[in-house]
Amino acid sequence: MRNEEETQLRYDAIDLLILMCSKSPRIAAQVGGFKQLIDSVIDPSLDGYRYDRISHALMLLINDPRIRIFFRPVVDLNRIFAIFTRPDGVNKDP
Amino acid sequence: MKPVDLKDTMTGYLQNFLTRLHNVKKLCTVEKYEEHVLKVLREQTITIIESKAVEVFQLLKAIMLVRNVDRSIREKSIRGIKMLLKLCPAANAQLIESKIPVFIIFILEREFKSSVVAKERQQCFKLISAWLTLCPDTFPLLFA
Repeated sequence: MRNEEETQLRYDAIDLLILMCSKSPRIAAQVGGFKQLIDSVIDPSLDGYRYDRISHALMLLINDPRIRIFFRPVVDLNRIFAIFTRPDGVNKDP
Repeated sequence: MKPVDLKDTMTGYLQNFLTRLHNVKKLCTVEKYEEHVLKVLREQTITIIESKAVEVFQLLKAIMLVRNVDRSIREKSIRGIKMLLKLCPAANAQLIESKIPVFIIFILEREFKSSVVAKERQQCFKLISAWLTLCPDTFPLLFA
């Protein structure tokens, strides 16, 4: 029961984070809300919830030019795109 | 402002307050009235809330600080603030002035990982969500 409530609270907090990123992106950027959102996309414990809610919200945020400017290109999105890149000086895939 | 008698407050005042807020909400959205009547009703409601907002917020703040009582009282007080904010979004200035965000964060932060306070936290989340939806320009950094 306790775990269910905590999971529900966690989901509510993520929903709130998404709302904050879309409604007041400046404050969300100040407190690292975008980074937290990207971290939650690649969090395995949120399996089943992340694809249909978080990733969709993230796409919508990146699509909006007024919100897009708050994403830090190297710091934030790097965690998602890292899988498609290879380090300097390495010529073959791991 | 008169001193608050918390015993009276706990035994029904808060419930009546919430019921009346529900009635006002219904009155403002009921379909049998015409648009101009609804407009006047809304304006009257906003005027009443704005004139008494500071006193009501002080009272609700005092309730939120009470310890060792039924937790639903604290939850109801947060719900009351949320409903007032929804009825009159202009009350956010008084909310900040009354330092309500500090108390909301106080409730959210304490007794970590306890299922006892889950309902209070849900209400806090709902209040923050309502604030973000209705007046994102004045959203306090403290909530973030």
